[in-house]
Amino acid sequence: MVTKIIWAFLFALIANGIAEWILARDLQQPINNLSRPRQTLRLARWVVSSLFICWIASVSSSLLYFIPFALFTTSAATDLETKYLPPDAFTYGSVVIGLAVCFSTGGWVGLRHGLIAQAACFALWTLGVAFFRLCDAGDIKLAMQFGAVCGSLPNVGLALMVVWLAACTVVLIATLLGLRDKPPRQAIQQAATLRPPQGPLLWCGVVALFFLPNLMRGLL
Amino acid sequence: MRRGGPILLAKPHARAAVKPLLSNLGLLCTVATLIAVALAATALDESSAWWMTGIAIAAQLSAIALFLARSER
Repeated sequence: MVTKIIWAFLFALIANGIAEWILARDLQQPINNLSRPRQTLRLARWVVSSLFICWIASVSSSLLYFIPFALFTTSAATDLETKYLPPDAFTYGSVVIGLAVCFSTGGWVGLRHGLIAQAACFALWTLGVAFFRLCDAGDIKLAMQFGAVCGSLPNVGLALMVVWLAACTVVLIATLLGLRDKPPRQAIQQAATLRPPQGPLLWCGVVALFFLPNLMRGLL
Repeated sequence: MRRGGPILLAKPHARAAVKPLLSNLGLLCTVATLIAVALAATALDESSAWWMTGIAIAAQLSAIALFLARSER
């Protein structure tokens, strides 16, 4: 298990390093140019994502899952900080890597499930953008990456439930914070119009996929 | 004329006229993707599931190509 945690820590370092490189080069936000609170936020993101990846390593069966997960962490991190996503080559490449991992762990059937999952996410997000303006157009690439990381439709459904819970929690916290200096009605209205970045929310859903089956097995 | 691009899209008015068409075709391909995904997920045998997955991926790639062509300046 120690070897797995060391490998996972290395994946976390590489993922955060890629995110740092994208933020510094493509999005023009190197850490030394940021204000003090944003530097703290970035360091907190390094620590939190690394700790989560190491913790998941201790409960997960295969290290292969960590490659697409680490790449998804990179996209979520850049989305959290800048509301922009990494370049197209990175996100589409991550989808292909996610599908390759699906193939290597589940064979042809695993690949088919991965293809269906990412295609379903693509279609749902595109229709959401086109007809309901639920998110930005760039989030479609992120959704494809999310589908490829989840690996199958049931996993996507389970992860989306957790994403929905996480979004509700964000709105609840925003309402509670708004109640400090606003009347309740105004605080709720302001919280309801909040649009948190999708990357971190989807990341919470993927994290839940790693420990929810173990948790359910323990409860049953 | 813009070098390396389609001749039709080099003229601004032609480009403006083509954009809604590309959007609508892209949306059509997206709906086709969703239908094929639903059929693939509920297919009874492996062979038809693979066929539906193939159709879904072809429709998805077409939709991506159409959306990318639409957003090209």
